[in-house]
Amino acid sequence: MTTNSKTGITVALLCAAFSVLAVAFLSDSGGARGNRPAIPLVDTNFLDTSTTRQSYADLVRANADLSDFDCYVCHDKKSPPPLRFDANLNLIVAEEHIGPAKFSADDIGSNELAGIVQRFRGHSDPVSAFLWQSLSNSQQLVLVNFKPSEQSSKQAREIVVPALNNIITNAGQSFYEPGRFKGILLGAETMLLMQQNPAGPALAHLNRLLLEDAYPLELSRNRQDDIVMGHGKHGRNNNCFNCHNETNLTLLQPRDGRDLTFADSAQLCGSCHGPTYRDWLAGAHGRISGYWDRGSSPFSEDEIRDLPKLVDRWRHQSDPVSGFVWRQLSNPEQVLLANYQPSASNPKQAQDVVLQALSKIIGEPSIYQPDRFKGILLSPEPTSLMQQSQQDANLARLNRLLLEDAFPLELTRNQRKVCVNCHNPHAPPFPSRKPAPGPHPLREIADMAESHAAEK
Amino acid sequence: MSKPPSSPASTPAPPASAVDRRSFLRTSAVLTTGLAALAASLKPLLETNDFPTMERFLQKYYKEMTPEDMAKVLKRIGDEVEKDYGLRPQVRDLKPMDGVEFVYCLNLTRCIGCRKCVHACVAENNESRDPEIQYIRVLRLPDGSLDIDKADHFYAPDSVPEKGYFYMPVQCQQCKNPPCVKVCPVHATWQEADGITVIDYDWCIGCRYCEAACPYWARRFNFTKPSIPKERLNPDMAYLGNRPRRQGVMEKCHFCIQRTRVGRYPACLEVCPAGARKFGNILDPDSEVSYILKSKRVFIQLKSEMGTSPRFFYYFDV
Repeated sequence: MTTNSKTGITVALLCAAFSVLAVAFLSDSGGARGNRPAIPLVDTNFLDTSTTRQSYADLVRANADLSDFDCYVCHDKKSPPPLRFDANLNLIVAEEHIGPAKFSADDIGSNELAGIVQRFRGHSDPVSAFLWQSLSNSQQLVLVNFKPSEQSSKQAREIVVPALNNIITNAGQSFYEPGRFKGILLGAETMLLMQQNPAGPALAHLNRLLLEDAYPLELSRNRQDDIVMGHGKHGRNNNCFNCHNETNLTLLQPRDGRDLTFADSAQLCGSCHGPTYRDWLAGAHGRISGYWDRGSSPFSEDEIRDLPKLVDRWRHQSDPVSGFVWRQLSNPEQVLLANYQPSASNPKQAQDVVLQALSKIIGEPSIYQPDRFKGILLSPEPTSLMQQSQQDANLARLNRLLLEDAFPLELTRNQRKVCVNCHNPHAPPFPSRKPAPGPHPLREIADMAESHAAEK
Repeated sequence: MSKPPSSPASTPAPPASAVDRRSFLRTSAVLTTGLAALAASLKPLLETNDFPTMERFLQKYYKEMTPEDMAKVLKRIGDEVEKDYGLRPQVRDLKPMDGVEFVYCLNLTRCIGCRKCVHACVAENNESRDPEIQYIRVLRLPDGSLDIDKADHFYAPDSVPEKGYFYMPVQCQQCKNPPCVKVCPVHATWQEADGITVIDYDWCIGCRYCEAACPYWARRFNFTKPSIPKERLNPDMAYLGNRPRRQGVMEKCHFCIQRTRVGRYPACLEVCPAGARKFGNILDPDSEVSYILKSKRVFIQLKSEMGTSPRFFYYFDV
């Protein structure tokens, strides 16, 4: 083979190869991307972007209504409330603490009643079939002839409410049977109570919860039932006086015999959960948000918890600090805030003015004056900062903390949350938590989770 | 002088400049095929609608820019974002703070694998939604094992945590000895004084060497123009942080530079429902990360045998 023909063959082969590549490129064959599997948000129980509870300490600082915490509205100071336990040594919770277990006629609206009657009549699910069988023939006849008129509703209600209440008492037994509740989604509190094998009022409470779970659209949930006795799932810590002082219920008692107020509840938690308390003090335990840099702490828009209330306090100059802040504003700013309406579709302008005013105050020398802060309960950190010399003290930090103490319900605190902000010793923990209200820069997460839950 | 021998009269030689039919066809075929192949290989250019403006093309290297240069660049970026998204962003060039070195600690006992951090990161850092780019990968590992080969990051159960598994989120480890920085041929990525490894998206040529060098699969490449819904754009931006990227450049976790360099916590930390993520200044002896490194069982820097010395620590509560 001559050199010329070799070159010719090589060129021809290269031409063919390039032609194939050209066709492949132009037709984009093999270049199509396969669909990657989605990486979804998994657990929708954890929607909230910040803790929603206001601690007792916040309420004390705000001079807010504390009557819910006054045990002696009902109890007698001289005699501590007696504790009763069932055969399994579980605490029998007083009915007053868990709300009335039984339904009253007012609890069931006319639409809801129609829904219940329809499910009874059709006995489409095992719970409805069970309830239908518990009725007498004449009662069944009334429900079969039910019409959404006033007279008929009254008759039906007189049958349905006692039938439900019979289930709640249920001769001292749990209404739960696996077959009966197959396919029914049980609430977190229901599950928690079932694990404890309750008796007495707590059992009645459990039966009510089971009914509420079986008829989620028809029966309203008992909203007063946010107290669950028994701290921890093991059931060994269900004595009220493990934490509360039995001679003075408004005090807490840690293991070392000190008396603590509700505002110092973190120390009580720490008296048993020592390592966790130590981590918490160092900032290594629990959720945290805001600033890692304790020195630079201006307020951001998601740290204004209640803008309308804050603006209201400023413009009415209802206290010396509000008066001081109001005087720092320029005239146009005062006019803007004076005309601020909470229902305005665009609260951004007012928010910007408020943020600028707060930032300006934080950048100033210490705003503390005894007269200005008279009557305001200061938290420990600003108090200790004020004792330092002016050179050493971080004035920006001090001013921010003073503002937080002056407006405890309106501004978010840039510091570690108190234990009870995350853990309510009297309520089932995380699954019942709700998303934080209001806008948040990461609101997309909550939106995604809501749509995910709706799809389910 | 003798005459050169003449050719035989029976086979007259063609004139030297003449093109015969055969060679013309051959040359034409080669040329046509070559041009077609060239045109086909340039086809991706037709899909590119983001040619650099002259201003961006002539932009100086980040470290050589004067404050005036930077002001112009920030204005240019603001204009571009406003044109594309109809929203005027706040773009800043945030510098490292003095006496600060960032460290991230993650508590493996607490992580429940809910992936809120993943999606918060996407929302905060203007990452592309389609195709979705995510800086954080949450690995699901069977209990009692740390074999990354057994990890699954496409898990999708109804709820988490699942029995028998634990979860390990992996993102840029902000190494002290970063291989990705060493391989960059144009110095478009470097380590800053506070320990964050950053990328200048205007300097990156998209060669993806850094992606290959990273042992943690922490770098992401924009194969297509990132798509972000207008109403989801985060207008709080930083030049080296979450400003919108172009097609053909790398990106990665930068510890939310637009937040952390003004003292705030990163977005992934703030949304963590379990409090598993901790962040702070390791040079501050009172910071939570100093406490954790001093008193907790910090079990790994991931793939520490690579000699990368990450600033990201995994630990257990015991």
